[in-house]
Amino acid sequence: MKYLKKFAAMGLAVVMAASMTACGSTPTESTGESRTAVSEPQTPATESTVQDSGKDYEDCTLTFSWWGGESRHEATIEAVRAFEEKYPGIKVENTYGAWSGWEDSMATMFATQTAPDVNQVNWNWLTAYSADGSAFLDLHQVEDVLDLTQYDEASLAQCTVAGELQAVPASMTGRIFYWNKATFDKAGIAVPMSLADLMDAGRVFKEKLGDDYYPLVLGEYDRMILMVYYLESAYGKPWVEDNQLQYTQEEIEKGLEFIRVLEEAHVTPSIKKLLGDGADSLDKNPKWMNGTYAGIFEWDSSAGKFNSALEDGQEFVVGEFFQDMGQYQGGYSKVSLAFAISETCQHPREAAMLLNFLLNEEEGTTIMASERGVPLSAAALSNCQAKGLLNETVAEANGKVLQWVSYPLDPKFESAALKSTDGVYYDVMSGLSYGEYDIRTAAELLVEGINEELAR
Amino acid sequence: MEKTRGKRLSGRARRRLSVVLRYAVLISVGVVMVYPLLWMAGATFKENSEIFSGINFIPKNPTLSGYQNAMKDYGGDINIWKSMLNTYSYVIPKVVFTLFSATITAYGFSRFKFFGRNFLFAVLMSTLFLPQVVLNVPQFILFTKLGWVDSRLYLPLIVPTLFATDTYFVFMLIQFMRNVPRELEEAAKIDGCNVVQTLVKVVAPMLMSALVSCALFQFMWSSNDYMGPLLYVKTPANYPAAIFVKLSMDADTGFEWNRVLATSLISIIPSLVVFFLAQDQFVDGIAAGGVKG
Amino acid sequence: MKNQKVSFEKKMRQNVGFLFILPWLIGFLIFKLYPFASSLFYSFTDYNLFKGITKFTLDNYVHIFNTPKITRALGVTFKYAFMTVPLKLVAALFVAYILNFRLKGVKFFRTAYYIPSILGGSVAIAVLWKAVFKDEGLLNALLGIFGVESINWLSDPSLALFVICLLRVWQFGSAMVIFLAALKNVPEELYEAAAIEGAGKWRQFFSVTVPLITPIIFYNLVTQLCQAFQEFNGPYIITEGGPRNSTTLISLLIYNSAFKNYEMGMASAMAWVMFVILLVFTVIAFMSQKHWVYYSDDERG
Repeated sequence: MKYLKKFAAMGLAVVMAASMTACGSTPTESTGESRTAVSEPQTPATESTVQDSGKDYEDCTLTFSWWGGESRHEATIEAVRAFEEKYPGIKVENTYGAWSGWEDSMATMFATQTAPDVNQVNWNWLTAYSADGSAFLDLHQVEDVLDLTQYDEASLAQCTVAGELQAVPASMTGRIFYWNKATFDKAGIAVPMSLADLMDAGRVFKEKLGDDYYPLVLGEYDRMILMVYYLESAYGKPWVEDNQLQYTQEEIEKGLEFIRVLEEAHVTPSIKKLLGDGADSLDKNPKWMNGTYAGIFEWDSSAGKFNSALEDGQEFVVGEFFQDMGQYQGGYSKVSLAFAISETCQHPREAAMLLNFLLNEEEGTTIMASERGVPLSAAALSNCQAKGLLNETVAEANGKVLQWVSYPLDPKFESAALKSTDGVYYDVMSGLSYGEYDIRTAAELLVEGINEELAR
Repeated sequence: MEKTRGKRLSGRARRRLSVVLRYAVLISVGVVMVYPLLWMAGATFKENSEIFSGINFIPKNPTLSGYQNAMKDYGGDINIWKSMLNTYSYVIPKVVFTLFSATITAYGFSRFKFFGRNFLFAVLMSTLFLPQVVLNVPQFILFTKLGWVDSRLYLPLIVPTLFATDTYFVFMLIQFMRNVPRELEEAAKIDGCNVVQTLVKVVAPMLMSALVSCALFQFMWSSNDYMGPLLYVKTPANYPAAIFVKLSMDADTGFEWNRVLATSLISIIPSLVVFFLAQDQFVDGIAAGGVKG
Repeated sequence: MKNQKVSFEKKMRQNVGFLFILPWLIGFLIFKLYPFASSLFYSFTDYNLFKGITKFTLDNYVHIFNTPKITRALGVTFKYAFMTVPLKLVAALFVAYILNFRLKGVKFFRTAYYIPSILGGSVAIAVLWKAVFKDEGLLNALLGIFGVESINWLSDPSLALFVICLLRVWQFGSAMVIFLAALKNVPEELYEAAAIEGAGKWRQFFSVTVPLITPIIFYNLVTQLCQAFQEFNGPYIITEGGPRNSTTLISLLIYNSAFKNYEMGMASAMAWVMFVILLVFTVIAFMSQKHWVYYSDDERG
C-alpha cells in the first residue's frame, strides 16, 4: 500500500514539475512589466531564456532561520546560494545558530511578530506559538509552488493545527533500540529480538559480566517513552487522542510496573546509579562508550551520535522492535523538524519557492541530503537514495521505525510542563526509581499531571 | 622586617616555615583552580571519543583536528577571528561607557544630598534583583520599536551602558567612594577645584583599583554574554565569539567536542591576557594615583 | 543675605548631585522602568507569550504558594544562598589576604585563582565537576585511600545541592578581585602601627583589615546574595535540578515557565516573589550597616 502511495505521489510530482516548467516558459500577464524594471540591467543574454522572459516571481529579500551544527549550516548555506542563482532577484538573508538558547530567541521574535520569513521549526512550536494559526502561514495557500504531494497525509496531518497546514515536515523520527553487539558477544548471547530475550539478558549480564553491566540504559524520559510504546503494544490505542488520555489508572499502573520490573531484573540501572555516573547524557556516558551499558532506546535520528561515541572494538547495531510486548505494533513517530513560513512574510510565494527548492527539487535536496534526517519528501528521498547520500545506519533505523510504529503522537506529549526536568515525567519516573512513590501514587501523579496539561 | 632580636634562629626558621606553608597552600589551591583550564587545553588535542573518558589532561593520540576545524569559515560570513573582532567592537565601548557613566552616577549618589536621593537609591538597588529572564521580552519589544535589533553597531548592547544601567558597578563604586575620606575633597575645594575637577583629579585616582575591577568585570562578562547577542544580533557576519563558539553544536547529531573546546579556548585568551595585565593595578592601587597619605 | 546665599549654595549643591545621576535616571526611565513595570503588570495576568492576556487575576500568586514544587524550590533557593554566600566570601577574603602579601610569583597565582571565574559556565567545567563528584570519580577515589566508602555526591538528594554550592564557592574570583582592590586601599601605616603594638598577622587581619574593608564586605555580601538567589547556571549545567528536585532553584522554574511553557504571567509572578524576598533581605542588610560597617566619609564622624 505504502509503496503504491509513494509511486502515485511521485507520478504526480513529475506531472507537477512538468506543468511548472511549462508555466514558467510561457510568460504570464502580470509578471513581465512590473518586475523587469527592478532587476539589474546586467546582460540578459547570459541568463537563460526561461528566467528572463517568464519570471513568475517578484524580486525580493527573504529572511531564513535555522539551528543546527556545522555540517547543517554549510549544506544549507550552499543550498540557499544555489537557490539564489536559480532565481536571480531573490536574495536570502540567513540567520543560524546552535540549539542552545535558540528557542528562547525564536519565541521572543514570534511573540513580537519580528520572526524571519522562513523558519526551521520544532514540531511543538506549531501548537505552542500558533494554536490559533496566527503565527504561521497556511501552506495550502502556496500549494502551487510548494509541492505538497510529496508528503503522505499522515505526516501533513501532524503539521495541521487549527485546520491550517502550518509547516511542512522535513523528516519523521521515532524511538528504536540500539545494541552494542560486542558486549552481548562477551556475555555469550545474541542481541535481544524480543522482550523475553531482553529480560534474560539482564540475568545473564549480571551473572557473567557482573553487577555493573546492563543490557539497556534508560533515563527518565526514555522510560516514559518506552512505557508508552509498551502500553500501545499491549492495548492497541494511542496514548492521547482528541485531547483525552486514553489509558486508565490500572493500565498505567501496568506500564509503570513494566518499567519497575526492568530495573528489578537487572535490565536497566536505577536512576540513582545513572546520575551517579555523572554524564550529561548517554552519548557522553563512559559506560555507554566502553560497552558496560549495552543498549539504548533512542531517536533514529541520533543513531550517528551514539555510534560515533563508542570506543574502538565496540559494535553498534540497530535493534528490532519486540513482537512480544503485546499484540499490537505500538509506538509512535513524530515530525522531527519542519519548515514554516511566518504569517508576517511579505513574499509568501517566493518563500514557498525556497522551501520547495530545499525540500523537493533535485538540486536542493542533493545539497541538503540527510542534514535534517532522512528526508520525508518522496522526491527528495528517492533522489538521495539514488545518489547514495544517506547515512546507512540512520537510514536503516529510520526505515525500521517508520515501518513499525503505527500511532500518531499528541503534540502535548512533549509540552514542557510534562517533559522538562521539573515536569511530571521526570518526577514520576525518578520518584518510582528512588522508591519515593509506589506504583499507585506514581500512576495517580502521572494521570493528574497529564490531564492538567491537556486541560490547559 | 629585621626586628627579630632575641630568638633570631627560631624566628628565621619560623619565617621560612610560614613561607613554605603559604606556598603550599597557594600551589595546592592553585592546582584545583587551574586544572579545568589545563584539561580543556589538553582536550582540544584529544580525539572526540577520548574527551569524556576521564579527567587526565594528556591526550593519548594528539591531534590538531580540533584546531583545524576551529579555523573553518561559514560560507565566508564568519570565522573565529572575525567573531572575536566583533566581540571586542562592542565590548570595548561598553567598558569605556560603563566606567564613565557608573563613576558619575556613583559620585552623585555618594557625595550629594538632593531631593529624592534615598528613594532613587532604593530604585537603583532594586534594579539588581529582578531576574533577567522576565525582562527579556519587554526589553526586546522596546528595542524592536526603536529599530535597534540586528543593528550593525550593536546598539541594544552598547547604548544602555551610556546610562549606567549596570547597577552592579554603580553600587560597587559607591561603596569604594564611601571609603575615600572627604577631607581630600574639602582640601581640593579650598584649592579652587570645582566638582568635576574634584572628581577627576581627586576621587577617580583614589578609586583606581576599583575602576580597574569594574573595567575587568565588564570586559569579561560582556565577552561571555551569550543571550544578549543571541537576541539582538541576527546577521551571522556580525556574530560575536560567544555565539560562534556554539555554532558547530548540534544536540541531535552530536558534535566535535575538540573543536568546540578549541574555539572556546581561543576565545577566552584575551580575557586571560587582560586579567594578567590589569592585575598590576590592584597591586599598586592607591600608589598609582599618587595621593597616598 | 547670608541665609539666602547659603540656601542658594545648598540648592546648587542639590542640583549638581541631581545632574550627576541624571544620565542614570534617564537610562532607568527608558531601558528599565518599562520592562520592570511590564513584568509587574504581567504578574497579575494570565499572560501567555502566544495567547496573550485574557484576564487579570491573582491566581499566579495563589498558585505559587499552593504548589509544593514551587514552595520547595523557594526553600532550596534559600538553603543554597545561605550555604554559598558565607563560604564564598570567606574563601575570597582569605585568599585575597594571602595574595596581598608580597610573595614571589603572586601575579601568577592571582591569575590562576581567577581562571574559574573566566571559564564561567563552560562545558569544560560541567564535564570536570561531574568527573570529580561522580560515583567512581576523583573525590571518592581519594576518600577510598582513607578507607571511606564511596559517597553518592550527585545522586543523593541530600548532597547534590552541596556539590552545586561548591561550584560557586570555587568561582570566588570576582569577589576576590574586589577584596584585593579594597585591601590595597588600606594604608600600610596602620599595619605598621599594629605591628609595633605587637599584633600578629591574624590579629592585624581582624582588628585592622576587616574593619576597614567593611563597606566592601557589605558590597560583596549584597551582590553575592543577589547572585545566589538568581543562580541558574550551576544546577543547569551540573544536575538539571535533580536528583528528586533537590537542586531545583526558583530561577530554573522561572526560566522554564517563561521560555519553555511561555507562561510569562506565571514567570513574572515568581520573579516578583523572589524580588520582594530579596528586597526584604537587602533592606535588613542596609539597616544592619550602622552596627558593623565603617565608612570613612561618614559625616557623623
